[in-house]
Amino acid sequence: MTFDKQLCVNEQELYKALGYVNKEPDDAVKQVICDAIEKLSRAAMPKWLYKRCILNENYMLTANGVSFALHGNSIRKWLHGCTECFMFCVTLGYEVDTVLRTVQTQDMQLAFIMDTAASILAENYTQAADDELVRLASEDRKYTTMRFSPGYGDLPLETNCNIVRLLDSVKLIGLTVQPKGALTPQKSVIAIKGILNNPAGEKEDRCTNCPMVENCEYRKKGVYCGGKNI
Amino acid sequence: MAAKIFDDKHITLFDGALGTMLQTHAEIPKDRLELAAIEHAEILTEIHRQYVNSGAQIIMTNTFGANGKKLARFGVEVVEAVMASVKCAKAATDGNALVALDVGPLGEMLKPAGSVSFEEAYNIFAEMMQAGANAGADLILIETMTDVLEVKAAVLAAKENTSLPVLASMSFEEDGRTFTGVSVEAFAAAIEPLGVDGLGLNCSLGPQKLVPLFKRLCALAQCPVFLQPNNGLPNPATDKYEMRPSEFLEAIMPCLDMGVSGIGGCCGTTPETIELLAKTIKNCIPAKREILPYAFVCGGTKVVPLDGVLCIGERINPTGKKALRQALQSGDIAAVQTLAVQQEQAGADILDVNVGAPDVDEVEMLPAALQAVQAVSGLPVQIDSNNPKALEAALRVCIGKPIVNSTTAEKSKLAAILPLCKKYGAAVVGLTITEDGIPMTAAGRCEAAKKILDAALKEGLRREDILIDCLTLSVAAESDAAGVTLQAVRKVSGELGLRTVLGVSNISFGMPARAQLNRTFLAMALAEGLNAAIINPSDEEMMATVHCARVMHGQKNAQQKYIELYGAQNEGKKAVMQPVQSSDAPTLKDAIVMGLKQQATQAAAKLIEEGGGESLAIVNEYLVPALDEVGKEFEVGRIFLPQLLASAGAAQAAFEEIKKHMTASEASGPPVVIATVKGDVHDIGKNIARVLLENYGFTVTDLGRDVPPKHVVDAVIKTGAKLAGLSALMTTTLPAMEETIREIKKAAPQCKVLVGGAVLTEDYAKRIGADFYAKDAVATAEYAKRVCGNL
Repeated sequence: MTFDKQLCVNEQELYKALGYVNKEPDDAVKQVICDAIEKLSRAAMPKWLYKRCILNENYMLTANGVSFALHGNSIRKWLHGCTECFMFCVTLGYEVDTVLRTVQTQDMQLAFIMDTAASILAENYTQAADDELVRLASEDRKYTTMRFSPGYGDLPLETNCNIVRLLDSVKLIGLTVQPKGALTPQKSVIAIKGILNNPAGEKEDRCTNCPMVENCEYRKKGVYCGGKNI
Repeated sequence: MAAKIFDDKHITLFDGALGTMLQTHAEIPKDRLELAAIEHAEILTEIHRQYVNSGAQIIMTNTFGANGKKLARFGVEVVEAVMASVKCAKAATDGNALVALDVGPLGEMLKPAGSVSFEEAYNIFAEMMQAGANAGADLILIETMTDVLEVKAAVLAAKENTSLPVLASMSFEEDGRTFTGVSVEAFAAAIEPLGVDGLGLNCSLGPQKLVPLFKRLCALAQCPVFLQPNNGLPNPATDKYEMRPSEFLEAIMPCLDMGVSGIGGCCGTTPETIELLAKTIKNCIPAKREILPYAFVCGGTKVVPLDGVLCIGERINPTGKKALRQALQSGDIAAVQTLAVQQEQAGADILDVNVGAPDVDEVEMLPAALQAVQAVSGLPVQIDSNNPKALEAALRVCIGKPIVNSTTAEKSKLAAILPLCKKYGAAVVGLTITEDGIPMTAAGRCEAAKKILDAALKEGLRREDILIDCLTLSVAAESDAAGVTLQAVRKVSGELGLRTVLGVSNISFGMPARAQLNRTFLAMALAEGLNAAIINPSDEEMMATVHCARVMHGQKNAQQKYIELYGAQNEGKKAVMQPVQSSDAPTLKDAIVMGLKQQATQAAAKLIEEGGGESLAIVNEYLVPALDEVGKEFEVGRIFLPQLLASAGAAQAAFEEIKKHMTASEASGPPVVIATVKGDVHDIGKNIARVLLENYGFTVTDLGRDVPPKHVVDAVIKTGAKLAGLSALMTTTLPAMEETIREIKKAAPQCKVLVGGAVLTEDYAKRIGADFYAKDAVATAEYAKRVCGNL
């Protein structure tokens, strides 16, 4: 599925992610940032998919006849009380990966800024997908948890392999997964949202279950990594 | 004898969807469809039978996902799954229809997008196909592909391991490209020459949206073409395909006038769909197609017509390039990528790739260099080698349709090179050299060209895929060298109707003011009909001649491009970057600290000139302190990574300038090996570290990503590196990092190991045996200096 609206990278958010938390970059860096955002918007071809799954008491997910169990305590805690969930994935597409590879051969500064911007853009589209799922749930008078991705807490990264299969993302949007769980194209996100009958309780900090929560350089600067560290 | 799949007397009818049909049976688990032939043979056979009874003449086996990668999770052998599937299909057809071994994508991407090597993909496909052939399949249908290199691996696996007819089909999006950016035209250009028996489009789209793309295929492919659309798009809420058979038929009907030879259906189609198709096309024959013999080459994403004036970038050639030669000798192919991108940006249409140099194993290095180029450029390539083994190794892994440079008119050369071009679908450059040497007349060269043409046509190559190089000899050696070549170009173009190519700059070898001779010769050759010039695209004067010639020839968009490039210039003046006035010029140190590339280069050049060429001193007195200052500012948080990288870029530019004046030993700093570990493909952090290490003068061997432990060990031993840097960005690849450290310590105990990556901590690094945890690129460079020392 494609998105209705084209999203872009907010410059202020990008400044922070690049480390400029309490100051702005100089004009030379700002120019490179503009260039990076422009190149990125030309290359990005965002797509997404979702499936609504049944979740049983053993945290076995089922959708369209495909079933697998979710392992680890973090996800089980996250989905506690849910009998359904959304499984979804978002990708910016292969052209972004190609452009990032190419730019790295010429200009590492531009490449680094583009890479950071691409992670933010992937996160922005993930949020758009998330918002749509919240809307879909609300049509049934349901609510959703925040999203949770493989690699968070003790949910194994290899869970991506099962989710890709369930979503049939290889065929439908070209999103594949390597044996160790890395997604291709690289600027892609896979996530799970629990569906609830009542509004979720106190919102957990989305960083809580990240393995880097104690040592994260982004958290030290007060910014969110966009999931790139997972 | 191989089954006849298509003919001109009827339109072959394929079956419809199998997966969606199997999914209607509740007793078949939807995540075990690949095993239906083993676990639910009766149901599967019955579905096949329904399609046969509906009129399908080709039935596809239930082996779409029956490859070693996908079956691994079931613990079922490929042979077992394939044989069972073929058996079910054959039981259903009972000799009344052909059985096609259905081969879908592996489910993981090949390099460079993913981590599967060409060889691994080939072997996985070969296993399936051998099993299918042994089980009695009548043909092989490779379908629903989105990566043209994966299609190539599958087609070669089929042709080299079976004698079955092979059909290849790709899935396209509405914009006419696959997910990986391959166009319909690139698909046809790259895959038809491999000798497939048919090309098709399937899946992704319903007939309404697929038919216009199919029209494009029909205009190009000379082999039979077929179409298997989805049954429209699925309802996102229910996942059901809701198009009625009559709607499917109406939407697909236009393809009958386009020359389709085979029709079927993909996801969501049913026996009802096929039955309706069967009734409709019963008395139809394939319409005659107007196919203009196309002449183009293509890379991963760019299709380049061989008409008009073309620029072939010559820079990826170690001859006369010390730095590139050294890089290739040490196995570092990043330099090749930089040259590829530079040339593309400068306007090259095709990239020549040559790695011939002493101490370079061409058989190993040429495919590696080619893959490196194609990882960063979608341009077509010209594979340049005299070594048939190296050529074949490169041709196998080449994405798209390349040019092979070259053969001569000598019988032995023709016999060695032309079969390779035929097998791998490459165009070929023929040098007009005979057993008697280089003919010194235009007539002699034209005769040699005729020999090449005759041999190539006999081998089965197309005339459109032959380019003749009439040879450029230096006017310093032969005063009529230019005249003979120019006349030969005219004769070969005019009398033989062949396209021509020339390595232009040879004309001025040994003469002063080479640039103006080259430019003039190029213009004269283009006027005689030269098609492609092998030049340096960064030479602005030469490229201006190319652009002018395109305008003169009235090439499409040439005028617009010309105005875009030169419209801002005043008459008689050229817009150039003006050097900074010396009174304003920053010092080398300041230029690096401020991240000013051009100024850093100029400052370095000035220092060399003033200092009488004491390169090493300049590095140690100016470059290194500048980098140290920037590093310190970064560490205390006064500047950030973008600024650090700007400074690194400036230092890199200055260092390139300084290196021109260094001896080989001065330019080679202490060796360091870096890699992203096996299973991990994230590398930007490692690449940033590489830039900084090179700034400090280290000779970095960058092994890339997803690197097995053995390769790291081999590189450490080969280079004598005292430091290896390993990067991992996923928790799942940390075990591979630990294993790599262990292997390094075993084989090269003197080598220190530094690790970095977002998921690492100092504690974990210690636990897995690393000597140092680097939190960023500056820390990496600092540690490297401590371990290895500077230049």
